[in-house]
Order: sequence, then C-alpha cells, then structure tokens
Amino acid sequence: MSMHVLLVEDDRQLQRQLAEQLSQFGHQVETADDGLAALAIVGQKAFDIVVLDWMMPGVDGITVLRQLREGGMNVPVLMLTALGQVFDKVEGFDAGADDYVVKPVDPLELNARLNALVRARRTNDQPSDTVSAGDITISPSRLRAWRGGRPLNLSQTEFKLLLELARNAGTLVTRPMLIERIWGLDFMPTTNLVDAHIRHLRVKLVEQGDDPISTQRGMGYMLRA
Amino acid sequence: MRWRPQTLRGLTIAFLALFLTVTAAAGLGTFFATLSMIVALVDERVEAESHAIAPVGAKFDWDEWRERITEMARQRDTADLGMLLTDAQGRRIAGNVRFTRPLPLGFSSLDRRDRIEGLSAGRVLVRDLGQGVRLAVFAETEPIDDYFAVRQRLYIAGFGAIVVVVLAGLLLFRRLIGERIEQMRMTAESIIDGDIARRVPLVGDDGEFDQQAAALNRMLDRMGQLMAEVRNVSNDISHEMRTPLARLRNELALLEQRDAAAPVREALMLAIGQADDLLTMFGAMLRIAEIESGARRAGFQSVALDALVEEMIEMVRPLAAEKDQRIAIILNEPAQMAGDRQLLSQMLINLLENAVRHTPVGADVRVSLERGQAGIRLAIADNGPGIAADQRALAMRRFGRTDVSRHHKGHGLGLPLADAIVRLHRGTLTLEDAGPGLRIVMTFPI
Repeated sequence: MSMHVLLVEDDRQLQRQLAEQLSQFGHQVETADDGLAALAIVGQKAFDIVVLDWMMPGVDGITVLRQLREGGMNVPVLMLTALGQVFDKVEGFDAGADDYVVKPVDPLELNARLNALVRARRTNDQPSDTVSAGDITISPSRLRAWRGGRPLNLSQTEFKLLLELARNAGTLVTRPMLIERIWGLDFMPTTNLVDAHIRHLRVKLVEQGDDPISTQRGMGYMLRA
Repeated sequence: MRWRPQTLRGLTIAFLALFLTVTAAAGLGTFFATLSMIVALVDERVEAESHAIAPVGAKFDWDEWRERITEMARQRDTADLGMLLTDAQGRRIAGNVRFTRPLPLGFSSLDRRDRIEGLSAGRVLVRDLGQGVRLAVFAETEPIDDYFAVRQRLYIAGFGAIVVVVLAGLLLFRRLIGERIEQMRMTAESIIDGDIARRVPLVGDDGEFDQQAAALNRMLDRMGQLMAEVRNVSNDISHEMRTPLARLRNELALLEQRDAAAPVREALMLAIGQADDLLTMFGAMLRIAEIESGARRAGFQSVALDALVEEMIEMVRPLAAEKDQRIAIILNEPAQMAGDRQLLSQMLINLLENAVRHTPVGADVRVSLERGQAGIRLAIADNGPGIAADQRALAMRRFGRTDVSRHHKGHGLGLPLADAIVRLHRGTLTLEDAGPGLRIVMTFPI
C-alpha cells in the first residue's frame, strides 16, 4: 500500500533516515522541519498520514496536532515521542493523535503502524457488524468467530488477537502493536509471550483448514486477507 | 594510659569514680586541715596564757604565779581554759583543774578519757619552770560540745549536695549526648534503608553537635549529588547508545528485507536479535531511572491488584503451558491500592516470566494475594532451583546475575526493575526460600 506521508521532524539526520526508509516501502514522503512548516504544507496537499515529532522548537507537535483537528483535518496522525514521556501519551490521544511510537523507531514497526492506521481509517468508512479476512468471519459485538462457516471456540484473548489481525488483514501487525492493543501495556515483555498466544490461536484455526497467519520473523504477524 | 573508656557508659562510670574519689579526698583533706589549724591556734593561745602566768626568763617566784593563776581564774569565766601549778612531787600549788594522769612536757592533746569536766577535746602545754615546778595550761579545741560530730554532718550535707548535683548533671549530659547521637544513627539507618533525602535534624544553636550534624548533612548532600551524577551518566549513556544502536538495527533490518540477503538471512536475524536485546537492556535501564525519579507517583490511580494479578497470569499462562507448568492463584479478597497500572503490570509480568523461565518443565508456580492489617502481601513462589541465600543480594543488583541465571536468556534487570516498582509504591520486595524454590514476597501499604 503506497501512501502519501508527511514527516514532521526537526532532527535533520533522523528525518533523512526515516524518509529514506519510508520511501523504500514505496511511500511518497514529504518533510517539514518544524511545526510552522508542517501547518503550512498540510493545508496545501492531501496526505494519507502525518508522522509528527512531539518535541520540536517553536510550535511543538501537540500544538500542530490541535490546530489540525481544530481546522477540521481528520488525517491520521502518528506521534513520535522520546522515551520516558509517559504521561504525554494521554495528552496526545486527547489532542487527537491516532497512534504513537517511541523513538528510536524501527522502520518496519513504523511502516506497520502507518499501514494499520490508514487501513483502519478506510474500513471505518464502511461500518459493518462483521470483520472478514479470507474464510474467517468475526462478529465483534457477539464475540463470535467462524472459519469456513464453522464456529471457532476461542478464549477471550485469542478472540481479541484474531480480531486485531483480521482488522489489519493483509498487513503486518507487530508485537508491540499487539501488546498495546490486546493487553493495553506500554512495555515489551522479555519473553515470547505474544508468540505463545499466537501459537494457541493457530492451533484452533488450523482445525478448520490451513494456517492463515504468516510470521514476519522478529517483527510480528500477518493474517491472510 | 592503657585503658581508656570507649563508650558513653564507660566514660560516665570512669568520671563518676574519679569524681567521688576526689570529692571524698577533698572532704577528708578539708576536715583534717581545719582540725590541725584549730590545734595550732589553740596551741598559740595556750602558750600565750602560759607565758602570761610565767613569762620566759622571769625569776623563780611561785607565789606570784599562784596569785596570777587565782586572779586569772577569778577574772575570767574561763570554762574553756584550765591551769595547774604543781611542785616537784606533783602536788598541787594552784589551779582550777586536776589531771588523772601525769602529762608530758611540751604540747599534747586531751580528750574525754582525761575526765576533765566540760572538756571533750583540748590541747595542753606543760612547762618546767625550774626546781621541778610545772605549769600546765590547757584550752578546749571544741568550743561547742560534740562540734566534731556536727561538723561531720555539715561536711556530709555539703559534699553530698555537690555529689547529687554533679550526678544529676552527669545523667542529663549523658542523655543529651545520647539523644543527639541517636538522631545521627537514625538518620544513617534511614539512608541505609534507601531514604537518601533524610538528614540529621539541627537544633539551631550552632553548637558542636549542630556543627557536626551540619557537616554530616553536607557530606550526605555531596554523596547524593555524586550518586545523581553517576546515575545521570549511566542514563545518558543509555540514551546516547540507543539512537546509534537503533540505526544499526534498522540498517540490518532493511538489509534483511532485500532478496540479495537470502544466503545470510539467518546471520542477519541473529544480529538483529542481539541488537534488540541491547535495546531492551538500555530501555530497562532508562525505565528504572524513570521509576526511581519518583515522577510517576503523580499519576497514581486506584488499581484492583487482584484483578490485575489474574489478568497478568492469564497473559503468561500459554507460555507456562508450553513448559507443562501450572500457575495456581490464591486470592482471598479484593485488594485495591493506589498505583501505576502499567508499572504494576510490568512488575507482575517480569516476575511471572522469571518464574516460568528459571524453573524446569513441569514446575508449579503459586501466586497468593492477601490483605492484612499492615497492607497487601503478594507472593510469587515456585518449586524450581531457587536462589541460594548468599546469591540473593546479588540477584537484586543491576546486572547482578547469579551463576545459575547466567545460563538463561535475560538482561539481569528484571528483579531490580520489579524492586524499583515496588519501592515506588512504598512497598518492600524480599527473596525467600520456598523450600524448594524461590518465593518473592512483596508488601504494599494501603
């Protein structure tokens, strides 16, 4: 999925590296060095997503975000934060951020999150009671899931995992994304906890067919669309 | 001096012993000095009286002497003065007393045994006036009867008062010093317990103790500064290392994505994994630093620890199941506490992961949560190899990996991180022997 990305980052070196890396994933990247430049450019062009650094001299990230939202711009925004800015997270979401990552950021992780954000925005445009991915159908409201028409007997955690993967079917969902979204935690466990849960989910899925989940080693998982 | 008192008690006893000895000596000394002075004065008087009766060098004339004696005895009411003139045979010529024994020539003392009416103690001068005629003149050394006994009482009262005052002063002094020393000891103990900000209280009189306490406090300030600097340096290192390390990791990750990387993909994945381990380690160090700053206390909210424990056990359960391990929970009642949900989750996940990681296949993990008078007690026990008593302190240190844990994957920051989280919640974390296995006990005040 190719996106038009606006990258707002005052650290030139990091900006260049991130832009390069995002380009390698096939995205069209434009950059802004500070908040004012960001506000100027965002009104002129249509972006699929904005990657916004929190800490910037002058107009900082959160101010840019607030002005965007006040101006009625609903473009997805991913915030870049430094380690340790824990309480800012709540402030960021309140101001209208869609996601955040802690610097230094892994390009694969960043790309996965950008894909997930844009995809979620697109699917939300067509509200539906069920989520489908391949031969898997999930009803979030009824907490039920089926594969090939046959019901799957999942635990609560397995259900949440499958739903998250299905919502992002066809794109990579990283381990930190799952830790955040399934368990609501902001740190990474030191063991392969997520893998163990995925293995349990897989066992139940393959009872009804082949394995629809592919593993991106060292990164995360992708459910076949 | 070979022996010197080293304790306040020893010093007190030594001082008391010395003081009492000196006081007693001074009392006795004064007593005897007074006594000998009185004797000297009385001797002088007796001699003067004796010469008044019979001047030295005057011619032999006992009629005149007798006359003077009679005159003197009549003139004065000389109850305290006695005179006796005797001839060579010891017969009385004149005088107002009798002696029960022969007296030697020169000065000598009289007492009650001499049975002289109205005399309890006195001095007598016996002179030979020629031809065996002797003149004895005596005077009392005790102007009041039993003056000696009275004086003894006076001395006891006087010196006793001094002893009492000094004793009371000494006790007060001892208590004062003891209290100030105790304050310093308490401060040191609190600092050992981790309350680095504690200082010795000052009275404000700028006395020696205040000066010493102030010096100690300045030393503690300086130590705190140095500790903060060391901490900052390690935090800075963690921060500064993360960025280039992350770049390196990202380069490797991008390289691994290329088709041309296929032949070395395994090695690249290994390198990425190692970079990830390092990043995790720096992240954990920064996390500990963030926790230890105490800033997160501001964000404390009410947390249902019982529900959180169950939630985190469910999260770790699949991992345990893969090693055929069971996790049992004993929850008695709801345990609500003020805390940081993320950090408490991290603490629980860390300890549960440790329990799963460091115990063999088929091991049991027991988690219990109790709410008592003192607070909440959370215990995580396993029946694995445990940690030897002499290795426990090491296990609590950063990177303090025990001999056993070295063989397992991990960055040696799990327990210190959990400990920092517990301390942020003003609780305690201790390692115990679960016989067999390790029991980690955490207590939180409510």
